[in-house]
Amino acid sequence: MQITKIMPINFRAAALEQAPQTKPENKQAVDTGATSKYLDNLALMNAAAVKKVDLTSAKTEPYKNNLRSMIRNNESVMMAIVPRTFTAQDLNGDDKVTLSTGEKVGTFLSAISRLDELKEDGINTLHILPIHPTGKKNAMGTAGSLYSPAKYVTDEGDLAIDPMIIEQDDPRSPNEQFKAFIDECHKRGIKVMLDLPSCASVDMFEAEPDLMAYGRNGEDKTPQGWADIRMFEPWADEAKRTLNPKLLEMHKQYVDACIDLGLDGIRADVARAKPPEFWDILIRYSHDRDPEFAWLAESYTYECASPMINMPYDRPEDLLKAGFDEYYGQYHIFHDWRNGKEFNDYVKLNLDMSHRLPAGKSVIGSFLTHDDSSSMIHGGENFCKLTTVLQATIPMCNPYFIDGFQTGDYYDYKYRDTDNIETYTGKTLMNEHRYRLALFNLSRQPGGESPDIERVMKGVLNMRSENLDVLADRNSSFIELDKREDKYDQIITYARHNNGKTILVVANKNPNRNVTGIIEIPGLKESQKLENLVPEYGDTSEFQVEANELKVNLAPADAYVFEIDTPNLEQDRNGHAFKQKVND
Amino acid sequence: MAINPVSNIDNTKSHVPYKDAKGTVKTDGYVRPLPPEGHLIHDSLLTAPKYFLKDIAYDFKAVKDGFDGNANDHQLGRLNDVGLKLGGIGIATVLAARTKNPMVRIMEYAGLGAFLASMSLYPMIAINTPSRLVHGFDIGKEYVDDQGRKKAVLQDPNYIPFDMYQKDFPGEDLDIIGDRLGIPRDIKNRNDVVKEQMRKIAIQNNTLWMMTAAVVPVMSALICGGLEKVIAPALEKTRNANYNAAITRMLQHTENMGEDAASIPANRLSKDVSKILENYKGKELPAAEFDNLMKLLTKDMDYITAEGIKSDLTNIFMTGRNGEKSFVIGENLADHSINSRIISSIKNNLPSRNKAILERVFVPTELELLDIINSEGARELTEEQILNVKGKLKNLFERKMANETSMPKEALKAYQNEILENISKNILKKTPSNFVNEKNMQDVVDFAKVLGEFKANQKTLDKCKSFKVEYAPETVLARSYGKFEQTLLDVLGIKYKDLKEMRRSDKYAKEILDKKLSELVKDDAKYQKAVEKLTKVISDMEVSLNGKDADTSHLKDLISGIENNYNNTAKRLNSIGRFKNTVDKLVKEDVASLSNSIESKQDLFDVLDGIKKDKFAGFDYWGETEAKRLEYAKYNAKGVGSSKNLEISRIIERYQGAKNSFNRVLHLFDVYKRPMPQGEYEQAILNAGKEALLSGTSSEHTMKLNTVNNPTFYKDMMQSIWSKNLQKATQDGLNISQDVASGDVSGRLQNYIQRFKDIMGNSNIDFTKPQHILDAKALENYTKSSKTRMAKFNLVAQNSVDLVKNAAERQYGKQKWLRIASAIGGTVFGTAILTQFAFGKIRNPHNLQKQVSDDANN
Repeated sequence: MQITKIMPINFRAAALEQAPQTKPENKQAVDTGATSKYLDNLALMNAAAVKKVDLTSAKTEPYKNNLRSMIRNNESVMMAIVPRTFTAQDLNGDDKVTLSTGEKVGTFLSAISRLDELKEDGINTLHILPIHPTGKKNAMGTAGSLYSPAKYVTDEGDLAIDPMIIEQDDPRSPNEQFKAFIDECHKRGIKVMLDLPSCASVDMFEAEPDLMAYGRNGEDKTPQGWADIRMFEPWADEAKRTLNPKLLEMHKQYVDACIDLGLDGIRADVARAKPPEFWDILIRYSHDRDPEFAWLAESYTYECASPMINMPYDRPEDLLKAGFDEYYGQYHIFHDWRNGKEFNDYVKLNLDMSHRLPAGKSVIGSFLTHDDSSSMIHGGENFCKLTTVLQATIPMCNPYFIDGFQTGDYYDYKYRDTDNIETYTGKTLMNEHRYRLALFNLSRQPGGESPDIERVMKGVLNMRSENLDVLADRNSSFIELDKREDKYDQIITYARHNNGKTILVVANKNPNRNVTGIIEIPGLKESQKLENLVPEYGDTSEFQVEANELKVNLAPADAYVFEIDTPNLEQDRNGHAFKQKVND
Repeated sequence: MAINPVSNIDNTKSHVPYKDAKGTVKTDGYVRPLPPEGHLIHDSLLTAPKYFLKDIAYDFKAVKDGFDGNANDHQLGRLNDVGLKLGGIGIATVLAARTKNPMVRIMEYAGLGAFLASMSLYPMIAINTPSRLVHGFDIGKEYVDDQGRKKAVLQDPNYIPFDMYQKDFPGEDLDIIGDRLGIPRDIKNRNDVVKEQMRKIAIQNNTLWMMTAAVVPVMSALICGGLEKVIAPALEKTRNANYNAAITRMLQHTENMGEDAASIPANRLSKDVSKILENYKGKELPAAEFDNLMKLLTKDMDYITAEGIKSDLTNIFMTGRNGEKSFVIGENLADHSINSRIISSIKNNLPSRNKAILERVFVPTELELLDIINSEGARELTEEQILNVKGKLKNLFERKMANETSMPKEALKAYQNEILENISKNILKKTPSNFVNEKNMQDVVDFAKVLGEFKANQKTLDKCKSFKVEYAPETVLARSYGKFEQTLLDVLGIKYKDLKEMRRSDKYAKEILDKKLSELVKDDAKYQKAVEKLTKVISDMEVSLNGKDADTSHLKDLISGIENNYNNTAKRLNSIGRFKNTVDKLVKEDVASLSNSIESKQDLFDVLDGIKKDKFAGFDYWGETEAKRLEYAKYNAKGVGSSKNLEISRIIERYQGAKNSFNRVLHLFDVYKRPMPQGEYEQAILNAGKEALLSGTSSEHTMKLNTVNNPTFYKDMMQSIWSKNLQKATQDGLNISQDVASGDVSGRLQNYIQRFKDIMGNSNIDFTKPQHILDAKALENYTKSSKTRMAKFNLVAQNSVDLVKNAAERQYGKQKWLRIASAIGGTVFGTAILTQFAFGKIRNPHNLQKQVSDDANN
């Protein structure tokens, strides 16, 4: 994209001129000729990245979304990506993308080049962070927050897409480009979930007052701490529990647009911003069109009241009852939990909750999300590997990662809090939350200097996929194991068991020192051979198998997964074996 | 395998922009929010104990988790409260330990409790309740969250679990609260407005609480003032019961004290004494150890008895092996070089001229000296033996003089006398020997046994005595005095403004007292009631001191217990035989005639009132025989100055000081009640009598009430004013206590008035004005001690003006403080309550109404 002016820049107007949107109803069937041409071009530019597929000769099948089933079966492995950074090119290594110097932001089409990489890593679901044009007023950063959209859907009912992530040279419309990306994901067996923001930018607040929440004296409602966004008003009358028809209709049109594009699900940002009734209506609406359309709620834990001004309290159970398939949960504070007991208790809490809900609900392995500080600062790459193993082996969990995790990105951008004259919001200050994935500026492609995490991640996800019967099946139990001599309870250990097959997980929660202890495993034979099912990493840990117990000396943040021969473990640990709800 | 892109785009529908969406989206039949996991607490008096205990259990867990390093934020917050309470208890304990006053000790803890209670009560009474009445909801509402933690709903206006308001009660129904807050029913999102107002009112009230929290200490002080009125009588009752039981126990114990000292079991004192003496058995007891022994034995004894003990012990140890007093030569018994010292001392004291010759003759060798001393009996020598030593030295010198040729014998003889004189005076100094032989040791150990038990008994009896009659606060006498003062002020109708004046000077106090009395006596019923109240206070004091029975008396038992302790100790010491001085100091009478002086409760009253019949009442000294006069003298000397006497007279005098002050006031009341006589002279007598009763001191009575030149007036006044015939209203008031069981306040007042007249009217000790004597024969009925200065002093007691003035001072202080505290507390309370009406005002109420209109138009 050529920059015609330095400052201020109103690229949107230019982009809109250059790339008119096409209405869905005018859209033709996919033009393979254009696609082929495009792929040829791309192949020339980046031969290694793109494999041209001869669509005409291949056997074809209609695509069927099954994301919801995958989630219910704990088979989804999700990665969150930011389109504008996913394939960004920071040529001079200053962590930001300066378009005027020829650096490039990521686009939908360029994103296709990394899909194979993700596939190899074991990812089968993408969480696409918001793709909408960002608001300019009161904006954060020079590109604006992804969660401060200026528009959700166009008047024609299409998704409003940020021109920044559209290839301007490509003749296809933004929605077509997005669709192309989605299709490429599907070809690789990767599902796509789009992030639905919870609020509006100040621009949208001013443009669409009927959607917005106001105080009694006409003041806007800003969620505490987020000055660049404004709350929607979901209620027509809260006392009567009647909803705002315009807001609901906008969301329905949003859902329509998503389904039309082939998206497999929606991740609802700050799901508590709207009441359960709102979601119930909307989710049912989506299922009327696509029963497999999945919903992920950004919701963490029960709150008696909201600690944030202008924001309702968080009630995951309400949201799951309203139709969400999975929610975020509290694994993102794993590093704050003091011991193994807290970890186990949280797992059990979710299992317990599942019995109060329709069967099939789950939680994501939210050890790291875009709202959290990099796992690297909590314990380095070994900590990253530890959390990978844990989320791959705990029950009622669909593993979740964010881009950059796999190579140990600290998300510590050099440009943070500096000024940049190249701005798209009128703001020159490049805010970012330290150690968090960049959301407010044109940033480099996420990545760190610990590629070994990816190695382990691949191995762990591969192990998981080979043992879905124990690790994902809802019938599989989670068995707490007793320990001795682990003075500060730093050993996390549990077994997963299904149909006589047992997988044992042993991990050291402490990233700083070795821990020793004795794990009591009824039925463990002295002759049991221990073969680690996940890739080794870190310092060497030691194990000594004895009858009914396993002595361990675990290296910092080390995690091991063994298959052991204890067919009666569930009975032997009666009272300490837990399962999620299997069926309704 | 290629996968076709999604092709499920529905192109058949026509697109309607969402901005054009209209209608009402009802949510009936859709998922509703689940009920909250916590709940509001519905306090009541019934549930309060349950929550109180739960809170304590939670706090204990918080402490444990805190120490384990597992406490969460909420627990840490509670630890703050726990720390406050524990710290408060610690401070109260330290302060309580610094005083012996039991009331003060209890009040330290009561004060802490009052403070903590005030912190809860003040907001409840002054803020939460008025707020609830005005605004319709309780701002002090608490809830239990999903983690089981108890919190205040509206403490943090940004964290209010409004969904717990489930309409279970009117105060938990947002609709009803909205009505109370004046929010129109028909506005959109009414609940938002209601919540906003609730939040606002909560902030306002929290601010009010913070701004007025200073009233909490004032409130706790007021509560303590009230608590004192409850605790003090309860404490007195409990302590009285305990001490009465102790008195009964001691009476029995002292009655059972056998005379045989040898049968007394060893006690700590005897063991300590025995240990010391064992080390010196068969040896000289060094002076330092003797002093040590004395200290042990005389510890906690009065000076008089200690002197007796010292004297007896000195005599015992001075007895040598052969039963005679023995001495040692030189001062330091441990000094084994005494012989060489004697020799060098002789040498040094020789004249310088012809020293060499003199040394040869007059300085014995060590062997010679040793021979002389040992021949008499080593170093513990009797007086005779010491003389013999001197004689033998003289013989030695003469032998040596005979052999000395370098100086004439006469010259040497002259030196001999001088030297012998010197030896006798300065060198052969004798100090009394303290020799520990078997008998001495046994006697002293037995003595220690007797004394040990005596002291132990006396310690308990002292405590009982102290509780009953001493000056210290919270004793029976002191509390009764306080009650009497308070009642007096009440019955006289003395108000705060009067107190303010009375405390300034005697003059004002007297004026007001005179005025109030004059008013009081005008109303018979009111006057009688006043006398009854005062009589009741005195009667209560008597019952506290003695008990309720007519036949038994704790005070009598106390005195008897003291007497038994002394008497039986004296008998025991007498049986040992060598402690006459101690016995004398203890009882100062013939051991064989020792007995209890009080036989009944009536007897006790007579003793306390000083009217017990003297054995020699009416004794005509010069008309009797020598033997009888001797007996009379002995009787009167019996016990005078003894330790026992001192103990018992202390009780009597403390009692009289208080009781007679009360009697004087009652007498004053009666005299004021008398109708003013017709004659001028009679009026003058009445007025003078009032003056005397109001403000006469002991010295003024000694001065015959300023009637130096008018003995007739004095005698008439004494006869008239100090007449036993009381006014009817006075008598009727006194009649609530006319029996021994209730203290016979009535009869004893009359005895007091009579005795006063007899003693004071016939006193000839300090002011010998025979013309002022009423009837000297009246004195014959009284004991000698009744006629002492001390007795007169106790008869006059405290003058009524002083009594009232001091009472006014104390009462003024209390009331002033109470008024200030109440004013502050009342002002703050009132302000807090009234402020509620200013809270919760809706900003821009027209907006609400506009909203209603807009919605209606739409």
